[in-house]
Amino acid sequence: MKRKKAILERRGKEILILDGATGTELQKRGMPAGVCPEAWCLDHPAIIGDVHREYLDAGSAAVYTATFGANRPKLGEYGITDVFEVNRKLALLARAAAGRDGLVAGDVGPTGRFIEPFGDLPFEDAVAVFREQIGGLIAGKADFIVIETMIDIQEARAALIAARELTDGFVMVTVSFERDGRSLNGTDPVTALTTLQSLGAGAVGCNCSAGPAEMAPWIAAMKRHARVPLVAKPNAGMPELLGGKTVFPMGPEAFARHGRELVSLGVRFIGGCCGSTPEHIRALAAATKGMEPPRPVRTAPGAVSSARKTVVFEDTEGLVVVGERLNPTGKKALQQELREGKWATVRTMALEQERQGALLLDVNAAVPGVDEKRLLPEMVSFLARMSELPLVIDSSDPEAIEKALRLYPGRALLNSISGESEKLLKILPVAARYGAPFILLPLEGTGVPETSRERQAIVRKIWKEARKFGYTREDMIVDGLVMTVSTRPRGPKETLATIRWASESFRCRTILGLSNVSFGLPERRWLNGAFLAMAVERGVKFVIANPGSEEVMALGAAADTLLERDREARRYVSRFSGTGTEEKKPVPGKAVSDGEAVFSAILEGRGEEIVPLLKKALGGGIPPQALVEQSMVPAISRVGDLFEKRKYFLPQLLSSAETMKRGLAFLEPELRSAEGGKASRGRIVMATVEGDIHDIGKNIVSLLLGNHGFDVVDLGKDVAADRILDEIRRVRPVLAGLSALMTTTMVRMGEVVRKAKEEGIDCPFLVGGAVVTPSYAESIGARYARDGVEAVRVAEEILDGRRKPKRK
Amino acid sequence: MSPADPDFFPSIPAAVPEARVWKRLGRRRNTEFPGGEQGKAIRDALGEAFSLMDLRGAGLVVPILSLDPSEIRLAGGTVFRSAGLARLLRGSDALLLMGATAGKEIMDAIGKAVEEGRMARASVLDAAASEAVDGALDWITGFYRRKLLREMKTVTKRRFSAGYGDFALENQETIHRLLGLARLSVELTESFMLLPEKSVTAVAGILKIENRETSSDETEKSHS
Repeated sequence: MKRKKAILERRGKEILILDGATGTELQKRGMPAGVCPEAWCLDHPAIIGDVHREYLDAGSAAVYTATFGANRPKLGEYGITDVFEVNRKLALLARAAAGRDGLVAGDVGPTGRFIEPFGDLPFEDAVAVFREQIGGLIAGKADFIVIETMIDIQEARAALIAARELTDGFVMVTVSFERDGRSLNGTDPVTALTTLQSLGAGAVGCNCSAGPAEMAPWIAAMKRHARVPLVAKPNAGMPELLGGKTVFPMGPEAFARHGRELVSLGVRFIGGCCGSTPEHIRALAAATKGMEPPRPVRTAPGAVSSARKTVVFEDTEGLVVVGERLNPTGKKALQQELREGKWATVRTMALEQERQGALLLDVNAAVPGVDEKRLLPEMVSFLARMSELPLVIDSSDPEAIEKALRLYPGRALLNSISGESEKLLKILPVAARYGAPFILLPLEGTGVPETSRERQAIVRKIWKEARKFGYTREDMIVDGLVMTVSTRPRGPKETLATIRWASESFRCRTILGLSNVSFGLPERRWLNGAFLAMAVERGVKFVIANPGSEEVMALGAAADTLLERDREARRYVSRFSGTGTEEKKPVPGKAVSDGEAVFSAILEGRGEEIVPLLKKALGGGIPPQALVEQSMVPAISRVGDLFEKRKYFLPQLLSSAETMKRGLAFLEPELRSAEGGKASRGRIVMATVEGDIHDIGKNIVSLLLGNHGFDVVDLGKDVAADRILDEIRRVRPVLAGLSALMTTTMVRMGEVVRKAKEEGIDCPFLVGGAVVTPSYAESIGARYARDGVEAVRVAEEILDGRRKPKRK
Repeated sequence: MSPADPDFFPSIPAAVPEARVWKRLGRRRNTEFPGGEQGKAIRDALGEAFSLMDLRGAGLVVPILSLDPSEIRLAGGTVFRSAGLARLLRGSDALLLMGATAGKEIMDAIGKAVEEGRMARASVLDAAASEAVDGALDWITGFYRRKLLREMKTVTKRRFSAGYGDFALENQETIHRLLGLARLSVELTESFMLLPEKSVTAVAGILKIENRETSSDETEKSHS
């Protein structure tokens, strides 16, 4: 295979034109629908050769082998097993057509399977599938490999790793993005670029799924961060309905015009995908002739990624918090869960840290008695599925590190590489193999270097080694090496000096493992906070800390503001200012009465406060009935009003209702003793009808009816008509409510109402549910309520015996 | 000609925009999101909902043998009777069956929240799960759109579900069987409801895409 340099140098002065769609060209030449395209091409070598030559004649510098689906899973659908030979022969056919001057791109498409951690195909099995295919393409004398139409970043990684393990030749990877600018599995263009270029792709870009106009912003986004050339192979527009047919509408001239724009945005390799023809390529080649090939603007990405998100270091304003909690050290409960293969705490910790503002998550799997080589990749796998945050892989075991980096569907940061020679020489190559940036720990095996000067020497030593593997300063983060102040009083000063030196002289980003500084001392948060502020002043960029610590987050935000790392204090203000319209803030100088306080608590859904407020109100002499009538019911009625006016939405209505319920439950004994035992306005029987198991709507209605003083007898879901009628006979309710979600179960409502009438049961019925309509209710002789608020009104009408006009 | 085996998707990464969940819960564009503890609790519930969901699905392309105004005969012997579905499938030479589920864990969490009287939380979990399964169907549609594009085919924008219009809910049984939804731990009740409750099926059409052999001024203008 040709080396990367040879491909780029050969075409260094011009844009490299790729080919266009092959499938349609084969269909035009007689390939029937439903056959295996690869097998058909092998049976009709002259035809595929013809297609290749037509593209070359039209101006393609490189043609793709007809091997898009020539992997084991896809060929297996047609009973074909000789994967290597199929690829080799088809590559040789392209080679023969391309001759001496044309380039042959060995084409690798998706397997159609989803790969762990997002699917059931083990990652190494996927790598083996691609290795088999790529081996055949190399044997068939392909000049380079193109991995295309990838919708899953992990599949793209598996193919790229397979390619790089077989050859140091040129490998191009293109991803298919949807209209929303993400692949089907949620990867955006910058994330795809960050992951793939650091894993060794020689060029990265996009193909299929979109026309050139839709691709333009994706290319522009990638260009800012690319240190490899960009590729674009758009469709001939987006399919649209024209004259009763669905067509690819873009003709060659328009395609070529857009192609020029893509080149001006940064594309170096360009061709066409679905809907394109040799004429499109001819026009494209002519339109881009003489254009200057764009050069990458970056030498290093300075970024880490998950499958769905990239954190670009220079784009992050101010301090970046790396969540530290996913570390089982000293956490017995977490250790036990991990031993048992349970993930609930890991999930909770990851989500909490994300909500609290961590941008990266540190992951450590060192549990006594557990094989880290197994546990670390499992943890990484689990977190890759359920968190968007890029990971920091925290381990000193080279084998565990390699397994985790290989499996992780992104570009992880490695914590850490130290100056200990044996570890340096083992771990550095592993990190480089997977393109992982690393935290540089200025330690050697001989103990902790006490002074900043000693640490600087170790940093330089590691940097010298790292450069041999192609690392730049963008790929390293220097750890200031935080020691406990209680045992090393000078330690913090030396750490701060190291941070300043690394930031200002060595010009590298820096990080601290913050909480080490206060180990063993009381009120650690103040030490942590003060140390953090000092470190921010010295230039620290990253901190490994608990993002749930208010001191860390608040002091970090304050320090950023004071040092102009937070423009116009926007983040600081956003952090500390509240939002929302209905919160009543006390007017300065105006006392809030106990009744008003109860009203507000219900209005704002402050469930934790209602009981203490009611206690205070009762203690202040307000009778319980007065509290209900003058504060609580008006509050919940106001909530209903706000809900009907769309000022409140459902969760707000319900949290107010829950608060009301809690308050009523607290007051119930008082109310009973005050009124001689009768606090209810009447009973209501509620049920979801037979055959239907949906009940959340019914439960919401029950809650609101309870808020308004009704006693609800809830029979649950899937309740037979006879049971409903028996209960009505037993409790003699003011009305019965029926709920159904499906058209097939809605008919049961009519049955219940009819049976009640036949058996002489005089009880009004109220019906509701997603498919129930006012006209249906009327047809069966029942009342209708669209939601819980309306149900309360209807119940009150029935109780009062008044007939108000029906709501429209 | 029988349909092939269904494709299974054991982990669907459908992203559900928050705004869609809030809209399902009745929030309008000019309604401010609550602040303080109430707002935090609502957002936390949404975050938890996404982490509890185990979105999985299946898809199957089935060739259409004949299409009458109210009857669709499929390869393998299945017959669907529905004028509405037949209208959707006009021009299609195959249909796409899809099924998706949010899994049991989210339903257990909803049930637990209801039992504990935490209806606000239950409503958020419920709405998120509903949006997520819709999103899963969108994802499956997108997958087949991608897959079929190279065969110069696409999927209809609209889709139909059993129980809507004149497409009887009883057809759910056939769809459940053809998609092999039992493999995804999705059961069918006697009244043709899917369990866990946040499970859905749908049908869409598959249309051919043509190449434009010649470009017209109109088309060139519209793409310049």
